[in-house]
Amino acid sequence: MPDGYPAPSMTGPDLTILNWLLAASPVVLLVVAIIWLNWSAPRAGAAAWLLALALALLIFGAARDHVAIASAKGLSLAVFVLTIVWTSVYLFNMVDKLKGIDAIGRTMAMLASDRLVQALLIGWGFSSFIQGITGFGVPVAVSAPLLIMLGFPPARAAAMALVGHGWAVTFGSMGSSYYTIQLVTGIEGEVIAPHMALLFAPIIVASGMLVAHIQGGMSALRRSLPIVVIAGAFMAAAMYALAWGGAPQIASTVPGILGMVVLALLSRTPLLRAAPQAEAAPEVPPAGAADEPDARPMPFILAFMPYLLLITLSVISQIGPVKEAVRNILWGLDYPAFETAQGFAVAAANDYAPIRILNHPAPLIFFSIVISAIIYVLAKRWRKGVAWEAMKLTYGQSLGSTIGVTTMVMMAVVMADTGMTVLLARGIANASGPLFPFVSPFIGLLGSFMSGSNTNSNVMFGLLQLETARALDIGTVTISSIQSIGASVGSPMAPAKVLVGAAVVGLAGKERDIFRIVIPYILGLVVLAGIEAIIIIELLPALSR
Amino acid sequence: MLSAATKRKLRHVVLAGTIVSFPLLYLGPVTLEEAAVTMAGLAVGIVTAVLAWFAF
Repeated sequence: MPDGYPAPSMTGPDLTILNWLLAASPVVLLVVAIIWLNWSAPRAGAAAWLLALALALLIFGAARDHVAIASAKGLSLAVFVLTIVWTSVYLFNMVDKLKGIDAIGRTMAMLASDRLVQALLIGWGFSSFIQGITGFGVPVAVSAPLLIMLGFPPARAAAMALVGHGWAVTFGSMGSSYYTIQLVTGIEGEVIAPHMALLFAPIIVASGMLVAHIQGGMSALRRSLPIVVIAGAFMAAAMYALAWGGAPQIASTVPGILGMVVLALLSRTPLLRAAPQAEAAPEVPPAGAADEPDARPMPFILAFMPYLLLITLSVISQIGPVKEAVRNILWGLDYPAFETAQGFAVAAANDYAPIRILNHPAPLIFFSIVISAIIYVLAKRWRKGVAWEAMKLTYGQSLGSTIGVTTMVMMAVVMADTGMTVLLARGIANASGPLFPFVSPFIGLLGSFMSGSNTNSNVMFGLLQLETARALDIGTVTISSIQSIGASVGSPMAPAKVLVGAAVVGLAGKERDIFRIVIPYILGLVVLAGIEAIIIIELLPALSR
Repeated sequence: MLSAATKRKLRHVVLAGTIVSFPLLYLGPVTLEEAAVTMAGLAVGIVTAVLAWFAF
């Protein structure tokens, strides 16, 4: 596992109730601070890192150098993840400032006149595509206003966008959450990516069904069932192929696009049952009419070009000779081995959390930004000051998540490198026994609910889940995958995302309206993930890895 | 409590502190093996975390 997080030793602190409670306390602090004390993620993360640091030094036998190395490793891992965040948010902002996102959204709306199909196209397909290329609440921020523009009630519009894109979070944001679970667990990408994609298949179909249900209840669900199942199958197959083929960074983007295309095509066939009453879709206001009378609408192909470039570059980067030629062009730090006073040994790590020039999403996104900017200038679509405006916006949007991710990752690695995470895992393994596979996605959900991030959840609990699976002698790859799946489908329930949804649909202060719709659907998806885990581990062990 | 404007300014300081702490935390125990640098890295990190508590 050269790119991964070295597996820690299974020796270390004794498993006593007091030790277990102390080891759990940074995570408990995070949960309590975010859910009950209403602290922001950076504030809670900072407090939890300080507590983990104190416990490591005072209780778990770590020396000053050990906590410094673990914290630096946390920063290395944060750079790996945050470079994806910064570049993808910047790309989105740049295209949005040039009215490209508006053009993409309007094209989606024109693909169908049936309101159920519009709900599925935007709430399920488009929001997932946006999640694939950016994330961090942007899918809701972009899709929900489009749905409102098409005449959907605000709370339902936000709920459809939230529930519809949950499946796309792990491989979304150019794969940042996926790369995190892979790094934290040290499982080879070729092993975990396709396995996770396989487990995502029922979740993808179920997400589409739930969006239909939010739009029009059981009758809408029945009407759309054939097209949702077929489109979902195409999306799942695309996700699997990309994950298997070594392009996990686009394993949400491409299925999102494919889903929209298949939905649009199938909606013109008898597979979509006729609506009980013909519902005329309200007319979409012309581009630029509201705020900029002189603005020329951007053609779809130009608007979409940066993302086409990104997909193309991602594919090129996976071609064998290209991959090999640039394999050693990377940035990564070497960390030494150490052992705490309580006997917990951590292996040395070379090129820890490496950023490879063509095998990490950030450089690919950077190249897409540069090439797109040149093309926009040549096509006379560039506007002076856009680069700087997008930079300022990205800085403002990313500052909180940067500190949140950094502190939580530092906390997680300090806990991992001083034996606390392994201790927690042993305790959970002893307590939950055969029910653990079902509990596993709820742990992922807890992490993303707390932090608003699939990535943070994977950092916090990825190693814990892996070690618990090892202790129970069940499929480590399956459980690591289920951790990320639970966090992925659970993240739209996070207060941070619901707040974004409420703000963009004009329900600020009435977030409860959205929570009431969203929570049962999200919990249903997490239960489905738990059932999958139980079935695969207990009933179909041949499929478990 | 701090005003919203002060909090906004402090957030930039928190980011700067985080960036400064990284090389110190790495160089101290790994490259230089110098306790003073390690201590400085931890001190910057801890102060930054406390500031983050106030700023966010």
